[in-house]
Amino acid sequence: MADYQQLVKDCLKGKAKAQQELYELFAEQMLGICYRYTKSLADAEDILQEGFIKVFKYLHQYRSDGELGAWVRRIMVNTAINYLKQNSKYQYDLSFTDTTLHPVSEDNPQLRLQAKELANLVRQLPTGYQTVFNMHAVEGFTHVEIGEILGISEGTSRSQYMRARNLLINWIEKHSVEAKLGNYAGK
Amino acid sequence: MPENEFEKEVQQLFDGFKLKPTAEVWTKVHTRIRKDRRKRRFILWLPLLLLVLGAGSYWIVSNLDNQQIEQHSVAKKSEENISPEEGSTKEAFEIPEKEKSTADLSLPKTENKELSTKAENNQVNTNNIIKEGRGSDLSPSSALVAGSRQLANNKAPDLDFENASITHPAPVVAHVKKSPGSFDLNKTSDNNIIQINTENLHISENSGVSAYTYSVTGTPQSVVLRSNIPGKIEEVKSINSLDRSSMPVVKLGKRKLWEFGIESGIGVSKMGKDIADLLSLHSETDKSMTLNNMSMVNSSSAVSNLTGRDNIYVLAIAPSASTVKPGMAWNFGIFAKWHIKNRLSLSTGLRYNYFSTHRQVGKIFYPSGFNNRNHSAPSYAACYPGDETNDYTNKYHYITMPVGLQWQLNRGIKLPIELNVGADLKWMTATNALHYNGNTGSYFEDKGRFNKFQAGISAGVSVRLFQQNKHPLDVGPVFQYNISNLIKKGYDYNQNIIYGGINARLVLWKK
Repeated sequence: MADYQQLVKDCLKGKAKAQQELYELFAEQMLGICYRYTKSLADAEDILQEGFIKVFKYLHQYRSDGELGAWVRRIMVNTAINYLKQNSKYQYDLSFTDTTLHPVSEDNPQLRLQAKELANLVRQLPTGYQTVFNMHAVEGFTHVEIGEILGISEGTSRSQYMRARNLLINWIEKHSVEAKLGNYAGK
Repeated sequence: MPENEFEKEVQQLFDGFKLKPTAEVWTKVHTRIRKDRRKRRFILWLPLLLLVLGAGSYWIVSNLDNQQIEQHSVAKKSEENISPEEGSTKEAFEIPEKEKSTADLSLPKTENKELSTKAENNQVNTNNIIKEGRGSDLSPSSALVAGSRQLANNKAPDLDFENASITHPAPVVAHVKKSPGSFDLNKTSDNNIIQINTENLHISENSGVSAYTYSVTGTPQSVVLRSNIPGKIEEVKSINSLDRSSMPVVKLGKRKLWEFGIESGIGVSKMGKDIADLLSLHSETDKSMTLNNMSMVNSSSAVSNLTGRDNIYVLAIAPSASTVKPGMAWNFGIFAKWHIKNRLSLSTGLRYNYFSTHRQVGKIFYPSGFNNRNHSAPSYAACYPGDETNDYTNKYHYITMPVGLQWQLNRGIKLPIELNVGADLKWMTATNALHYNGNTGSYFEDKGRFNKFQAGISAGVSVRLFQQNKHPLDVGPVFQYNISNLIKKGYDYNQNIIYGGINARLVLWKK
């Protein structure tokens, strides 16, 4: 666990250099998170900006015994979810109407693709699926927690997740086949 | 929680997923942080700003008053310079003593006002003004000033109606609206026009005896009235020439009993032993603390046997405590004020108070290496050995519930001055104040020594600005003294917070 105590203290004192250092330390990683939750890079950057403003605003609440990166990450995820809820562009797509349970795919396709490629596939999911998938598969929220955060039932969250997962697995397999074909064609 | 390998792989893949943001993001973040910081600073400076604004407004208001007075005097001079031929000179309306008696139409003396009007060649001793509803505190309906003018047309020996009717045919009544407090010179330039300078004027004709009644609400500054008997009389009268003391105080609306608003103050706080320390520059607590420390030295093992003899000890006296100097203090809160009587009101509220003092201490070190020889064994948070090279600010944060009585000293409604006395209950929310240890000559933090709940008294004077405005502002000096000891019993020394500063109260709404 990196010791960021001095950096945090300097930030709290209002030192611009320390603030920039903290930003640069986490900005790239956090933009990766924001990117997964949105449909465009511009939106991801908006969330990143709002998230960092919150980070500096509430930095005095950060307890030095916790991991700073995890604390910043949590703020980014919350900011992203709020952004999706408030932004009209995402609101329609974020409605959770499908409550039917979908069969769990037992497939565990080997991920032979880059993180950005997978992220792009996740971003092609409908916003509701995308959000639940990110929260459960990547951030590790339980369906109960997701239900509380998004204001939906646990069952809805589970259903959305399964559907997202199945869709994604199909796409990954398709992507792998295409990549293979591409490789063969290249040879 | 990932359910299987797929989720684990996804997690691992995304853990290292990074994207480089554009430089614009940081620029925007930085700008917003600076803006927020400025906002916070502004909030901190708001009480001071309020005070400056209040003082500035007061200055403007008082300047305006001076200008009005100047205008008034200029107008008076102009009025005096108008020739009698124009029918509106002051001299023309002066009431000769002889004529007063002739114009008294058997009305009670206290209710009559007589005027004699000399218009051109016609002399009229005619005006009797009956004022009804006298008293200093009247309801709007009773506040009407009703006056009747009776023309002593038959009795006045020097009245020539025939002649007057020729010179002044059929007059027209015209109202001239005038804002309260301003002064106009009214020239009766047109012989057929009656000009009445007042807020609300009603003129009705009394049948029979050529008498006229008018009623006035508000406080008219001047009334210039020409005759209203068609073609017969011309009279001009200035209310300023009337006896002001006989005019009733007019109430324009229902008095609002409750006021709610925000308050803030800024000043200086210090530590005192008793209320006598209010004006002294140094703190008596230093002496008491040193004495206390001396006794602690006596009872402890921190003595040195310098002589070698068993029965004679010389105290190893630690350096005396550094002086506790006054520091900045401020407060803000909300208040509610209830007007019990015209000049007496009761107020309460909720307030945040910040007090501070300064003293010189050594550099900080943490208690693990600190040799605690004090029998009371406090839980030291930090120690500052008595090197006394660093300035330390003792900060005290309180939530206060004040109760106060306000007594209006003057009867004026334009600039009321109030005497404020009150008491308050305080709850200490936080402090970092240091105590002095005479054994070691060091300073230490020990929150357990402070009384969390305290009581205080206060006194002050305030001036109400913008009284006629929707949001009046009370500004004035205030002194506060904590009657309860800041230090708990058993520590043998007294500390009482004393505050002196300027407080401001802005009324947001009235009920």
